[in-house]
Amino acid sequence: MTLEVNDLKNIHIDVGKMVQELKDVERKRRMYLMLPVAGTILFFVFFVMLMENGEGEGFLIGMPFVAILCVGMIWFSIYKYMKLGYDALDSYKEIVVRPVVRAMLPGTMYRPKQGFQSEEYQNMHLKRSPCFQYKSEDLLDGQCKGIAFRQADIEIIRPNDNKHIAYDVNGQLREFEFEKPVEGTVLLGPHGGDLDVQPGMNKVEFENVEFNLMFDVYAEDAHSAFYIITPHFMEYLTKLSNDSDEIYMSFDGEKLRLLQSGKGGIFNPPSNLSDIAASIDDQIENIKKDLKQIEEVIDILHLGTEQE
Amino acid sequence: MVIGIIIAVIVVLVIWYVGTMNGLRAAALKVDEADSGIDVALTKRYDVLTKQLAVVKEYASHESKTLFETIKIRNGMSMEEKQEAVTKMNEVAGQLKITAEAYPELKSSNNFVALQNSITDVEEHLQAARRLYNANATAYNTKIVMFPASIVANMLGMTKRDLFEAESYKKNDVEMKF
Repeated sequence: MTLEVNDLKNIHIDVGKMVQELKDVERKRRMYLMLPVAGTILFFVFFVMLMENGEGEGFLIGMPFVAILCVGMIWFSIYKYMKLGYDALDSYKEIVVRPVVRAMLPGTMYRPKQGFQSEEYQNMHLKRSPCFQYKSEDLLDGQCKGIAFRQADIEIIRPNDNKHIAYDVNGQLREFEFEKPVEGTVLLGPHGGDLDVQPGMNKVEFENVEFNLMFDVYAEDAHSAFYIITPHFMEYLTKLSNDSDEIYMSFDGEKLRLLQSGKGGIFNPPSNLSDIAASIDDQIENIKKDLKQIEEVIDILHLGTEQE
Repeated sequence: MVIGIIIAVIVVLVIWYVGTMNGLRAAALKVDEADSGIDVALTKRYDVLTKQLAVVKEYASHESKTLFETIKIRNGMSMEEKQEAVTKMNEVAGQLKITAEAYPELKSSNNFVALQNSITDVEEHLQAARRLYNANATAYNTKIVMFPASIVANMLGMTKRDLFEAESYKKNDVEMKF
């Protein structure tokens, strides 16, 4: 079965292949779930056999051997169970995500296992994040309307006050390359958020009171902040903010970075693998909606040099 | 005891007065800085328009020159004069655009295209300068009428600043192409 996405030409997603792969994964996973059960039964069989033969030398040598064997079987089955899950995720990205990316952003490179480096992210000075565990994947690298861009999912985990694991960042980072003459850096984040404000930056108040209540903006030169954050862009940032938990943005005259946290990974399938085939249309629509945002930013800042 | 209370009240009043005065002066300084930003943007726009007129002159006769000569850019212009200058510059830019439409070789000339791009850039800067000025002026105007800061503002002779509301910049973003 091949699915043709409504408004995208030249895109064919082999749902049949995806479903078949998922069925295989489910079958194999069930098999690996049986291994710990088999290991436990084996352990008891050996235990009973050794007990019947008396607690002699055979018992002392046999028991640790059987225990190690059983633990090994359990560990192996858990490893294989998880690996199959990751393999299914890889298949999903190849069969479902890649064709949508190819159709919406021709020429864009999609590297599911790559992302922004941790050091690179820290040097962007968007959000003050003491990295406990950093992960970035699903890198898109290409051009849209003549503007070079990169995008990747970012996940930063840190222990919270209760020593529980909490997401510090869990969303997308987009980087657009274009030149505009501004002095210093303009930094925007949620009102009262953990903005990574650098020395020399001052708070900038805009003419829109609601915007000021929603975001904090810092810049070395207030004029630069007004120059890049136009009324139209303000509206867009407000809209984005309603779609996710936190928005962070920086612009240094060459690169505009937009971090949208709280949405999770955009190319990740439902956690229950069997739901993938059932909700494939919704997943494709979500991917399309997120990819559209790259174009939206370029349009709103009037950056495009190529006609559609 | 009573003298002590009176002295304490006076000290508190003096601290409040100095604090409020500094706050108001800082706000006024911000308005002045933003005002000079408008001057810079206006001068840049005037310069680019001058160059554009010179290029147009090479290809076609035009009536924009007469209107352009009425535009006066100088230091210390009032907000009204600045608004008037912007309106006139918009008119000249509009006339030049019409002229360019009638002369394809002018429209496609490298110089004209480059200047057209410069115009959009300076217009974008002018719009940013206008918004920054208005935001600062509004904050300042609010501060000087709010009680009890209004008492200090009156003592210092601070008055409301005019906003810069050029007609064509009121609602729309400037269309930019890079």
